[in-house]
Amino acid sequence: MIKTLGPILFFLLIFSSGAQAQNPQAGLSPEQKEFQSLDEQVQGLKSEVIKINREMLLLQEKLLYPSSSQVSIFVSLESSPKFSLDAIALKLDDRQVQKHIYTYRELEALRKRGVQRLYTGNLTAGKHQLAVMLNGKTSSNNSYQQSATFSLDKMVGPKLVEIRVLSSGGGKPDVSIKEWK
Amino acid sequence: MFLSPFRIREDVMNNLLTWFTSTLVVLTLLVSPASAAKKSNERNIRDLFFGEALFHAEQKNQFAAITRLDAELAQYYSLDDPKSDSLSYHREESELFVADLELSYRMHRKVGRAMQRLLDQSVHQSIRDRAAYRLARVAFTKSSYEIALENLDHISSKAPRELQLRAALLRGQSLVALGRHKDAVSVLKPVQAESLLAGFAPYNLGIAYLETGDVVSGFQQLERVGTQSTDDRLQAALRDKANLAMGFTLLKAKDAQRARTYLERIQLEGPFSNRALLWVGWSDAAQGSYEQALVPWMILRKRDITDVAVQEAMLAAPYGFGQLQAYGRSAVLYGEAVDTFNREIDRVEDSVSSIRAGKFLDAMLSDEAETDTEWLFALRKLPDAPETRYMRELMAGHVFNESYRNYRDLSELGDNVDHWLGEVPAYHDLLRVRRAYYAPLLPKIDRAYERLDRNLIRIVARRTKIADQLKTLLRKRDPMALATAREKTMLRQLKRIESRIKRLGKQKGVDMLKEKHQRIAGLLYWQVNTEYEKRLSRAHQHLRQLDKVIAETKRSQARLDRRKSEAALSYRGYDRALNDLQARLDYLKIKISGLKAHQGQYMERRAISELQRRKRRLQRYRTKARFAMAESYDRALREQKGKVETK
Repeated sequence: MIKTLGPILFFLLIFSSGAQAQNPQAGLSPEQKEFQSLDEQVQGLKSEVIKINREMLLLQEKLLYPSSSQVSIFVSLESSPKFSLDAIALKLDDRQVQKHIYTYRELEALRKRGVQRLYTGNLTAGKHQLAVMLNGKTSSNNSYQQSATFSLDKMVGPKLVEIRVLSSGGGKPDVSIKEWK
Repeated sequence: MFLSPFRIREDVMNNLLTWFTSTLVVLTLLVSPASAAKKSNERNIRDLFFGEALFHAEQKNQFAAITRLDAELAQYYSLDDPKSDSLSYHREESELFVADLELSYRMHRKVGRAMQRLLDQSVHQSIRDRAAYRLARVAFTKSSYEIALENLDHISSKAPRELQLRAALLRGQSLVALGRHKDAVSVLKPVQAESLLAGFAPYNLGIAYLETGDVVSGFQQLERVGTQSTDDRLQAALRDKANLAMGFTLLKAKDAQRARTYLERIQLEGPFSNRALLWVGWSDAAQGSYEQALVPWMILRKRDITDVAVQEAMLAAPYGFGQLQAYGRSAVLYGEAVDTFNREIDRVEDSVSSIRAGKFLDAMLSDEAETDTEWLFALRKLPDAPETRYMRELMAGHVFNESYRNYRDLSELGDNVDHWLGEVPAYHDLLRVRRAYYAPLLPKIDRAYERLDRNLIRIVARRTKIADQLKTLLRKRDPMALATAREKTMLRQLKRIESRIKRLGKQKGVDMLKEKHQRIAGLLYWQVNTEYEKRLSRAHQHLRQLDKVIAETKRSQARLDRRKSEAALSYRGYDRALNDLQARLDYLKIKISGLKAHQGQYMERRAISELQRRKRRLQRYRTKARFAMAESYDRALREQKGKVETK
């Protein structure tokens, strides 16, 4: 019997290893229909949650940061900087308002032209001081600390400030700001 | 069940194709946000919120990215003059980017509609090309290959080369999936040497050639993939797959010797290594080299027993020993196979119990099961627990893979809704505190404000009157108009004194009084007249100072008015919106929880059904092993008996 089993076993063993072939043209099985129905429902829910998330974010912004006093500070990084950024700290009028330690993924996202919202808060109209402190490593793997202070003129209405961190001639990066209208 | 060679080949080729298709989909989905980012790299970011969405997208946080960008686009479209907004620079790109993100987040239905809108709009041709490509990808993912081809037809000949190449690959894929292999060959042949499509184009072309019966051309293409040197995991897996396809084709053509050459190339630790080892053994066996066949089979039977190839090796190895007439060894190995199958059947039953106890879904949400960039590789990270054992084959399938991702997404959506539900009471509290503080204060402020406003109106009216008088004085000189209050009093007194002097008549000393009066009056008029120009100038100066004070007061008044409104707006008008949002969040929580349970039950049912299928297969193998073991023992005994009789 073992001899007759041989060739059958041969084919059986070889060809039973794969999953069943799928014919896209064939009618859907009840399981596939159930999957499609669930998938559609999940997609619908995603849309609903995204919508409510958007509304909640807007409400939160309106409640906590009214447009007249709102200030948002963003950070952008040069796409191929000759330095790495480990941490950043912000002071507004000598008061520390934000401190952030970067992960590898965040840094990569910044290098690919992503812009990070670092801080959102409230400021009265008038003149203010923004101090930026950076920590990181230069291309030669030396630690650096860089700080810069800028004057901000807050008017009535939201204020958007972008902190730009760019390579400089030396090892440390240059820090500049752009006030968006 | 015995399968005819043709049917077998079709099935296996389809399986290979199915695997490749799923890999391609994963791959293309992964590149989509990056491609949007790449596009933005070409120019500066001119809208911070667009950049913020990129920041989230690059970290694969599609949900946050979609929410931000969607909010920005909604705000953009609500503007009276959207063209003045900074997003207008990125508007078309943002639409495409949102669709890309939704595609990554597997919201195919919404993406399809968004892309169709873009195609219908008079947007730039480059955007239309990209939208058509994405639509085609969505259709391909949903196995709607004809629709995928229709969408690819919308891509213009002026589209960037990279897009044209990707479109050609997708077209070839769709044609192969539709069984239009000759058409697939004509599409894939011109792009098979493109480095961008390295591996994928020649692989598909090779499969298409094989399906048309052109084995020589098919092997030429597959040989290129099968001999490529690469460090990339996907390319290495594709290389193994190409070699597996060639090895199988030759095995089917009974050219076992050549088949072995291709099967030997397959990595010993790759996702296809078990199948390759099994087939290498069969290629040796087909040539009658059972001793050689036993080498891979004996290696294989020590591997993960949940793999079908390993289970089959449990039968193949004793079969090999049987062919070498080592019936005793064969019987022992069949016995081990029976024991192993018995143990595995028990373990499968444990797994079913574990799944019924809900542990499978817990394992699906564990950190270890966090999706890797490539799903097939992520599966290998799953812990060997009863609830995940035997699941790899099932989980590698598109439907289960999508179900799993949906289940995880539902869990995250639930977390998001819970987060906001946790915030809502805090917002209510914040509003209550603000109301308690401002509500009693605002009426007093309103009254004070109204008083200030009335006074200011009076002051402004007086100022207007004075300004008019000064204008008249510029035209007509009138020194008395600028006399001081003291001077005016003195003049009135002098007039009264003059009347009294007149009433005195001609008494002694009256003349002296008249003279004194005239002198004083003259002095006063002299003073008023000579100082007139100086006084007029000073009056204008004072008017200007008054204007400044009034302007500053008006600014203060506006500030007060704004603060007053802000204070009122900081707590008024939110309750209804917040209550409405809370009700919707509560509803969504229930909906998510229900759908998550449904999705979980579906996965559990699929998992249990898969386990039962595996159990039936193990039972079949056990039966085969038992019969074969009995026969081997029988032969061994007969052989032993024969030897004894000979002695």
